[in-house]
Amino acid sequence: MKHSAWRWFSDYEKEETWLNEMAAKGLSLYSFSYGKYTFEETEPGKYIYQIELLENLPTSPESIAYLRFLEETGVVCVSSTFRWVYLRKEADSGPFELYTDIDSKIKRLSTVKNLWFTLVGIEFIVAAVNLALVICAWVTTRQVEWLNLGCMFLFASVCLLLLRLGIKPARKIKTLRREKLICE
Amino acid sequence: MTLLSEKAPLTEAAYYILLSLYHPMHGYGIMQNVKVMSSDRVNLGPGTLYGAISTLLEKGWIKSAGEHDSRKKEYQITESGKKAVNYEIERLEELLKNGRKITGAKQ
Repeated sequence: MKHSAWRWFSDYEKEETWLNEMAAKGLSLYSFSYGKYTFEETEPGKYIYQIELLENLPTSPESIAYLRFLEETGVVCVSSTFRWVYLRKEADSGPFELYTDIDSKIKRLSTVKNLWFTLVGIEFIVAAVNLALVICAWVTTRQVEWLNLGCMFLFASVCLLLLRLGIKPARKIKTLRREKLICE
Repeated sequence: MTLLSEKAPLTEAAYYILLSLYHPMHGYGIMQNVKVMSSDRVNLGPGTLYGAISTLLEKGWIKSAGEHDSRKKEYQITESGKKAVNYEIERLEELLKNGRKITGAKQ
């Protein structure tokens, strides 16, 4: 039996927790596309899930080589969207931790941080352009460009959301870097 | 990737991967071998292992040893990799010697 659910997550860690809760109940994710999660019925707790942001698109040779390597270790990529991949491993083969030392943990977090901060930059520019248009219109014609004003607030709020998402890994990286000064 | 010489301290992961590859082995084999060698203390995550293997290949400390059971890639340590391991053993011996001398811990 297949089940599907529509959800929207901005924080991949919360999404991961949710998928693992579902898997613990016997609903294991096997495909994801545009907010639609499809689950298959399995025995409860059969799989553990992890979500990873790859450095390249899943179809690039680098990512194919990496995913093939993961497969050798029992980790299967069930679905992907943009550079994000949904990975799962059978729970009885031990804990599922992709990264086990500080350096590689920092590298993984940096990939996520860079994605969010790049988008923050883009959204910020778009918001700033809209603000400039509103000001220009006001100065020249004394009229308020409501459309541009609305766009400005929209992009500014998306910018703030992304900033929040980016700050999370950035903080973790800072803590790990400190730890790295005294341990491996 | 020649920023650091063979004399630079190795990470625990790199040291155990290099030791495992005195016999040709594939990725999963390395993970299992390291686990056994360290009596379950060191569990290499596949992401960490993949990154370490790529870096060791770039540095020329390990090389590809062909494909085994159709798809699994095997790796093997090279002469410069062995040199790095020997330097590391010397370094660890120095650390141990000084640690024991000062704390009086038993041999």
